[in-house]
Amino acid sequence: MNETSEFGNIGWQAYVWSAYAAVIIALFGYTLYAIRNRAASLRSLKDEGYLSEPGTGVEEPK
Amino acid sequence: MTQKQTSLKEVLAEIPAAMQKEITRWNRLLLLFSGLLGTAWMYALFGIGADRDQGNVYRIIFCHVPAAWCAFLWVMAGGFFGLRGMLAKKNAERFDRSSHAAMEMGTLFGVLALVTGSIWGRPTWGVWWDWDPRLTSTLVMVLVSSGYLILREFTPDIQSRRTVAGMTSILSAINVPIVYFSVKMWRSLHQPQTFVPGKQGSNASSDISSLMWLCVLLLVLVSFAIYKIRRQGIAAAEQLAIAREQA
Repeated sequence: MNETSEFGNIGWQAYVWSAYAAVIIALFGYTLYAIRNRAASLRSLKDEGYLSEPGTGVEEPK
Repeated sequence: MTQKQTSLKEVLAEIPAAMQKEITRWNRLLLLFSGLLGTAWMYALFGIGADRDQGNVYRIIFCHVPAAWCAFLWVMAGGFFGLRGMLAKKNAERFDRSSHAAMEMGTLFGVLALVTGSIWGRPTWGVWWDWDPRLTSTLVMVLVSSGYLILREFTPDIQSRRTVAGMTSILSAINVPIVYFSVKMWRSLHQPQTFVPGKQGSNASSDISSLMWLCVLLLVLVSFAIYKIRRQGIAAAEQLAIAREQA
């Protein structure tokens, strides 16, 4: 580690790793939300009979 | 008496084959792109050498710049789909769903660009935040995108929601060129554009540039896979709401 890598009492690692952690946690959390939300809607479509009943007017989600 | 909830596997077995294929395809692609991005970021953190001026803290560039580019891309896409949705006579709802998913992604990446930029600003500029043109214009873009999501949530009528959302998405997209050229148009604390179109070379060395472009490409691919998943979820949720209304 060179001199410019220290900022006060905090090393560069604290800044770099927290930036990467923020991105990874946010993307992971949003992906999890998107997958769960999709699964819940599909499950409701199935449980309420809209996916399997022909002629209900419900088309394949696009 | 409680009814047994259908497992996701059972649901997947029931849905049309084409849709099943789409769902599994994007789940797998997301895993693949995430693995590749993870590898590139490992190299960015531990492989490539330190910068002459900034030392190791410059490594934030490999997640900050890709996040900012993804924010630009998705806010622009949201505006494009919003405009198409307002002009289209047929399939307006599909453009509206695409715009919704894209604006969510744009807002998320906009916030990430601001957060990572702020973390980078502290050791290099000495402050977490400055009312600098680039930072301020990015904040405005994120606030307008957030406004889009809030307006969607609180406009119950589907037709009014599409119109209001479409107009707000266009307003948000107008901010993108302002953010991009802000460092040229006004005196800014932020560094100039890293890559200048038409200029030989760039403001970064070639090894940093190559790795950064790779990270930009991979994060765009990851974000596209997430967008597709979210888009499928929005479509399914809207179909469910319409079916319940018709029942």
